[in-house]
Amino acid sequence: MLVNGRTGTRVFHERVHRMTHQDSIRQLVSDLEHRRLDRRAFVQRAGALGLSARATAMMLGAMGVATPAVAMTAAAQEPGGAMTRAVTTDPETLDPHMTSNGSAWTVFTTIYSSLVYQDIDLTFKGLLADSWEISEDNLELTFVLKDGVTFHDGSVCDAEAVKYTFERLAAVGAKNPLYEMAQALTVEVIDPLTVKFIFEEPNAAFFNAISGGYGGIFAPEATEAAGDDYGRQPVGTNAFKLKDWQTGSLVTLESFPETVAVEGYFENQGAPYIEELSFKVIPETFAQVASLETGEVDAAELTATDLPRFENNDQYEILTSTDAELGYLGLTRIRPLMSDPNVRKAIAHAINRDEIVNTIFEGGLAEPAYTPLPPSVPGYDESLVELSPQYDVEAAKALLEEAGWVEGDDGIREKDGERLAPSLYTTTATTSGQLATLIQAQLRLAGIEVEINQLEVAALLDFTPKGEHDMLLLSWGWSDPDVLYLFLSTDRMETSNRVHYSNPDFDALLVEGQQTMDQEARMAVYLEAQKILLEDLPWVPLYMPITKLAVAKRVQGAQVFPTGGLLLNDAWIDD
Amino acid sequence: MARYIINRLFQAVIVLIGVSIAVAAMTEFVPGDPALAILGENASPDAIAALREEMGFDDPFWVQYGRFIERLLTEGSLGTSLRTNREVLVEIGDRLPYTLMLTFGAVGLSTVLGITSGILAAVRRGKPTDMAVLVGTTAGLSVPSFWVALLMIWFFSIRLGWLPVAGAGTWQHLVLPTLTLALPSIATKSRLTRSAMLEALGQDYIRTGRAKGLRERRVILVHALRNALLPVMTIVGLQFGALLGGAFITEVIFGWPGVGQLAVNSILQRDFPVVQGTVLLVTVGFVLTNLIVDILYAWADPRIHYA
Amino acid sequence: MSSTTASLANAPTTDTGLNHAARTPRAMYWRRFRRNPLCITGALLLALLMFLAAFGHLLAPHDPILVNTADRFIAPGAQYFFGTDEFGRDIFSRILYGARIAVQVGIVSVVVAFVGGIVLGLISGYYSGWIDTILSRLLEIWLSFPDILFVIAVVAILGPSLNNVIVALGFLSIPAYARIVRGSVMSARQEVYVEAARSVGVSNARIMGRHILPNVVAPLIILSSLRFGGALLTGAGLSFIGLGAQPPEPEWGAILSGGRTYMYQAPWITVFPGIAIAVFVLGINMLGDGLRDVLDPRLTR
Repeated sequence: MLVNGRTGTRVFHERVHRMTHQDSIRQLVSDLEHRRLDRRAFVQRAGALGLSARATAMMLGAMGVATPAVAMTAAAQEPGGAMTRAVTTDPETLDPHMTSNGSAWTVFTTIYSSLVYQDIDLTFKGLLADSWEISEDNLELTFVLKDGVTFHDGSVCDAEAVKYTFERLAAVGAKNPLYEMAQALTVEVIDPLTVKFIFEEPNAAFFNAISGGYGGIFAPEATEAAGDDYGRQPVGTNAFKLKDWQTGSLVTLESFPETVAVEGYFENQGAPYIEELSFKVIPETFAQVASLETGEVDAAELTATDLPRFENNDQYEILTSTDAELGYLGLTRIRPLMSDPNVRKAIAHAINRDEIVNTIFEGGLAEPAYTPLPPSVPGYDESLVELSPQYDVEAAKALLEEAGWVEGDDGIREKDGERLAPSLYTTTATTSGQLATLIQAQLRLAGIEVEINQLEVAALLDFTPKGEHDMLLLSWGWSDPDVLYLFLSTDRMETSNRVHYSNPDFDALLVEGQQTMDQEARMAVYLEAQKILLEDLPWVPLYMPITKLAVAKRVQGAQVFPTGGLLLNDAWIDD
Repeated sequence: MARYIINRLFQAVIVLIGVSIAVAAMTEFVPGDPALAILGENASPDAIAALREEMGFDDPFWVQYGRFIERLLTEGSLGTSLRTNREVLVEIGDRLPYTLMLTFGAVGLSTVLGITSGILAAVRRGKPTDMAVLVGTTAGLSVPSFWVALLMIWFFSIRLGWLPVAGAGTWQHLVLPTLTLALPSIATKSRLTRSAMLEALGQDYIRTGRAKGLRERRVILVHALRNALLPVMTIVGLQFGALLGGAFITEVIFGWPGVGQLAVNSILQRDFPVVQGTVLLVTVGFVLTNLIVDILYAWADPRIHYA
Repeated sequence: MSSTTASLANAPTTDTGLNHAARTPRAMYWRRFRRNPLCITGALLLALLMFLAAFGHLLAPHDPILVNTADRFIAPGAQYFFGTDEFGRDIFSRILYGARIAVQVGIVSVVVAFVGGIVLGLISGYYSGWIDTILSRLLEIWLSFPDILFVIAVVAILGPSLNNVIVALGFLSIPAYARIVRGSVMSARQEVYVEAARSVGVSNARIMGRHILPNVVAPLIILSSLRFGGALLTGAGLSFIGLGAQPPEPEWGAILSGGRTYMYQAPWITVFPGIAIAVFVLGINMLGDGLRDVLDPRLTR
């Protein structure tokens, strides 16, 4: 599943007591061992404890739990009722080929389904596909589709639809993250239920890419008939279909009674119990949370400051997910101030991640991140943590001394008459400003004077290719380790490689990672790649955000995917 | 009069062309590649290049402007939004009713409150009431509107539970955003009414009226107020024109789907066709309301005549 | 604020009465000023703001930008009069330091608008004819141009800083000033003494400077006092969008906007800067209003 790239994270709040946290995990594992918990309850609680999907999956695997759980409270699950969720922006369009908007993703993932889905143990299972075969050379992938799947308009989801979808994606989908992949791909219809994908090169990230809404399958006739207006008349195969859309205000979906392709982690393998699902556009977080309190919406993401109020309120259930996202401090090596490895290492030592997490995320809505791939992204390896420079101001000072930067009269270091005053660029989001403020204060203790510049996102993205920034404070969201290619490869120097990092050895590993189909071997490649990064330090990893979604108690049985995404097929309304 | 109006409309067209050229030229200076802004962080260089090519972003702004004018004249279209692929006119049309609701609400409320409090202040000139009106209305002009909006949500929606926080659809949804927008403009109207009333009350015909034994209420409401309305009308016109462009902060806080959010989000995401469309809307609004006010002026005050 | 300006810009221009109001106009205005409670209250508040801008940093008990995460969200009390924010910074000290920024925002934006407005307004009003037509249309285009797009462009070209934003704000108010000046000039131009001066061959520049300019000063002073407050509010609005002061600058609008996430947990972060902005803008508006009474002859009866 591709997680939509978020540029500004929210501000959050919760105090997790580290001691009890450890204890809770121990308790959780013990409960699981003694089968006091079913798989779903376990996943839910693991999520609540902030465990990554990977960790959760590993624990489940270790415990040998694989069977689906028994229904929790079957009695009350009657179809009917409506729920409303708050979103930050208007979805703009519900044509997944034409947008990269975050709210659009939230909405269209409930409308479309793709060939495969990612299960909670992070493996891929068939959704619209029944089974598949991969050729010896990894260049051909043949899917057999499920029989009897229909689109919202009644047409049949067949091999032609799959071919049509990927050809349309390659033609018009420039805004869709799978655009490039679709262009390097040929799709052949073998028979109505068999479709073959032919690749130019092996693509290890393929399943991850096509799972989720961005890889949703389109109904050819309905799409062609709607023409330019398709974004307003989406037709998919998933549990909800579009009913009404008040531009900029409210998108209303209704349940699709003929839903047949349902992810295996749901109890309910048919149409959802909830009859109407609305997304209400509320840009200001304060107003979102206020709407939750007045009952105008049933679900909203919490900010850190609100957490205590909601967690102690039995009117709400808090669903926790760990986003496949990393906040980082980029160091632009091509800049004179940042070219010295000792300076970069000193900066990494001067960063106090615990203070960042406890201050800006109030200890609840982020975890410290020490590695270029955080624990929520495959490729994370715990052994890397100790290679990452730890918080140690004295070590930072010593490294700077060694590099020839000596303390001046005002405590700021100087060398040959030049002050150690790097410029830091970030977005105008509130959280970015707060992070910048705290990092400025932390680096000040090592004798570095950071000059903060906030630019609105469009201007910032246009500015970074010029390479005039010493430091960059940004975050990315992506659930495949190939993200390193996107942001740090020499190929992307002109665009998304915003820290102007280039290392041929690293580049070679990235290509290897893209083409290694064996997952274990692939992760070993990314382990090596990350070792290089922790040595070169183009990024100082800072934090991994956690999302806490508060759901009013009238909505029962809602869950979130461990890396984010509200799961509603088992949910029902209890008024 | 007809000639005057035609002349004014002709000049309005010139202003519209000027504004649209200025906006088009600005796209050249404002950093931020629309293709990049739309595709976002994860976009590949190829995808960006493809979109730039498709949209013609690489052409100089006058070439792009030429295409814009050509499309406008031949198809009557302002182009399509880069974010939603819908017609700019449709995008604006979806939001205009909400902006009009809010505009009429805010202008109406502030005008009623402004004139009433202004009359009160004039009649009680120098008394505590006068001072209270002044401080009260000026206070509304002195606080940052987003602060007032947040405090009102906290008080009216959360504490009292009287009004919804965000959204649109019922009259209840309209109340808080209307109040937020009306508050700052009450003071101006109140002060204008007060001084115009004071001036009018000193005029000979008012004294005559009083001497003739007309009831005080009639003197104030009919004779004095009529004079006071002219300057207030000017303000109403300008405020109306300005609010047609939307009230971004108020709309954001109350989740109100108006033109303001559309305009600012389009600027931030470099959706230039929509920016162009919303700016033209504001300009048309300004020009028309100014014209209407001027005509009303001529109609209400025969001393003014136009060459 | 824009509506206030507009009222002045479009109010029917009358002779301000500076030339034939009293034998010693200055004395008369001073007397009216002293007797006007608005003027006195407003002037006192403005004086307080100026004082804080000049000496606030000496009164501040703490470093306004010192991050001290051990003292986060401390409620107002003896140690921190106005409490602390999410970084443990002293709100009281931040507000004191912010006074200087507030004055800077007000003055710079008003001066830019004042100077630009006078030049354009004088030219437009005095020459009339095609110059006036062109300038008037130009000003209308200027007024219709979206403020945020302009601010974004300025920030992008000159770099993100509060100073650049202030200058941009001043630039955006030029049309309001120009329209007032133009109106006043057009009515003054008809006066007998101007005709007389022109007939004896006094140069245009001299006529403008000596005879016409004094007539427009009064409405401009009033407008400026109102704009001064308006600039503070607009600055706060820009902070809400994220364009404006760069952290950790203690600009009032930025403190207010940054604290809105903590309205439940630490209401003092927003309450105190909110009050600071409201009180001083109120004071400046009162002064402007009072000045209108003092300088407007119609109200003397």
